[in-house]
Amino acid sequence: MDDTEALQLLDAYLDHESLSPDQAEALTTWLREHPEHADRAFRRIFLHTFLRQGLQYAPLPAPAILTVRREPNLESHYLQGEPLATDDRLGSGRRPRTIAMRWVLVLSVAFCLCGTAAWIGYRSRSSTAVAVEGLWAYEGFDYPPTSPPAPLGNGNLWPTSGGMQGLAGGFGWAQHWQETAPKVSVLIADVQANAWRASDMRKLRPLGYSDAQGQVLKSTGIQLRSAAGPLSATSRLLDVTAFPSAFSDEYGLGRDGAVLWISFLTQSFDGRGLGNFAYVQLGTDAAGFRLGKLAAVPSGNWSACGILDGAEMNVRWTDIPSGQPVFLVTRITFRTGGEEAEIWIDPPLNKEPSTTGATLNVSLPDFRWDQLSIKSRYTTDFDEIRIGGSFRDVAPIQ
Amino acid sequence: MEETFDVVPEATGASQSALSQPRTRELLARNWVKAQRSLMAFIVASTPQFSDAEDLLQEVAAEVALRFDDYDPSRPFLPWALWVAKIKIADFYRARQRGPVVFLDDSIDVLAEACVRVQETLSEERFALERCLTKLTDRSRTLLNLRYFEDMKPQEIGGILGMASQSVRVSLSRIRTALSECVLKATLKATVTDG
Repeated sequence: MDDTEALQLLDAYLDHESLSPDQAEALTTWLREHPEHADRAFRRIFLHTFLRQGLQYAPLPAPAILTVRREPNLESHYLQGEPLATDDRLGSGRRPRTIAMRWVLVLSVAFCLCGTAAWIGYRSRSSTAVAVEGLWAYEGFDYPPTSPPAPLGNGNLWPTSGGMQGLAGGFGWAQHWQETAPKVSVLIADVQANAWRASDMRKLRPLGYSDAQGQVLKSTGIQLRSAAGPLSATSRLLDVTAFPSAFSDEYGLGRDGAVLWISFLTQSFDGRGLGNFAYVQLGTDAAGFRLGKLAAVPSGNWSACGILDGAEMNVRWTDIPSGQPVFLVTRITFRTGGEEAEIWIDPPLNKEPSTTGATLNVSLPDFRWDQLSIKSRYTTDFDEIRIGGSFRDVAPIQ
Repeated sequence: MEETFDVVPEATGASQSALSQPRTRELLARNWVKAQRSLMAFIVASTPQFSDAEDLLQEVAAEVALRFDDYDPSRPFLPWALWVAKIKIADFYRARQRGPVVFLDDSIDVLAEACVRVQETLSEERFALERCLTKLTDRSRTLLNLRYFEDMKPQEIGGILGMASQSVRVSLSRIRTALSECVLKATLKATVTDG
């Protein structure tokens, strides 16, 4: 066994992988072969311990941007300035550009801009928007709080059964809530008593929203709390027949031309990102829309994206940390081809916010939907889910 | 099981009893601080589950304090502390009625010897490692954060990043190798500069 193979086996062991008896024997033989091997192995274990101790409370600074979700050549990029043989670097890597390359770039950008302008023009004429006022579905999580409450501070003790399973309040739904992951969401009344840890940013006040003019969003106290650690998936089917017929076709909600408004309140335990997620999903993993804290956004800030074939696409993020409570309002315009989502964070409640004032604009794949899910591996609160035909419907003032 | 260990404490004689209590405490504190990181690495080698390793380190610390009167200060502290750690590791597995992890069963003494050999250079390497961490690419940092900050297994990381778990394993291993090489280069350079 060569050194590389031996160290990979040692790494696998330290990463909690089981070694086969043959692998264990080979590793032992290598280790005993020469004192230098044992020294190298111990240094490797020391490195692993150092990383674990150093990073368990404070992560390395998060990457500034992450635009590519799948990176097939990941293995060849490790250190900046200390590249391995095949390294062409990721993240900060910049290669010198020739003048010709710059011209190609400029022409490409110009071509894209022209194409985009033509596309927008086409899209704006390609379908007629259908807006019908009304609140078609609502969930305020007005159930008794989960009892006994989830144990605090240890994700391993998070409830694995019960949760929202079988609860069927609100209106506009075809079925009760279903829990489909190893952990479940719970219902919280007293945010202070249920602070996950001392640093839980949700303990200051229950979810709610009042705008700069002091107008207060209509909301009630109990809120849903998603699981700490992997994984909770709390889903519910909508009653498509409760929506105007112009909003749906035989595949579900989202008939071309429909304009739907969706809003909810949310706040995460804190703003941490780095692969953590807690979001509301419309549709399925095959095609749909996600809004919340997304795994693909290292900062953990509030974000949105489309979903196509299980992959997050067109990820857009804000500069607002997910530890901050927010009132998220989304307008989805279902068009021929793909859909367009505009998202406002904490808009004034007195009138419909302007398109130019949208916090995020996200192009989505063409999708139909009849299911709303709350998926999480980082405990986050949600409340007051509303789906309607206008801003006023999903942002009622007290 | 502890009788079979190769590294045994030296006969104490009157060595510790001749020391005053404050002096003993000071000696213990100094030795412990110096050896703690190496001991932790040694325990992690035996129990990769980090929460178990941290509990075990605490137990080793308590045992070392209890037995410190038996320690001969004229001998190196680390081998003696490793002996105590091995007793505690054996107790740990006995209490859980399961055998030590398969490959370490035969290798624990070899690693204890390596621990003693490399102990003196680890402090310098640790500082070099901190510098090397600043050179990581964004993607490497993300992977390390998911592995160590989030305490996720390669399979879970793969699920989040859309990678096969085998690719995550290989990537993590190569990041560690790149860091090790960076540390080696830094320490060699320092040696040349100092020399």
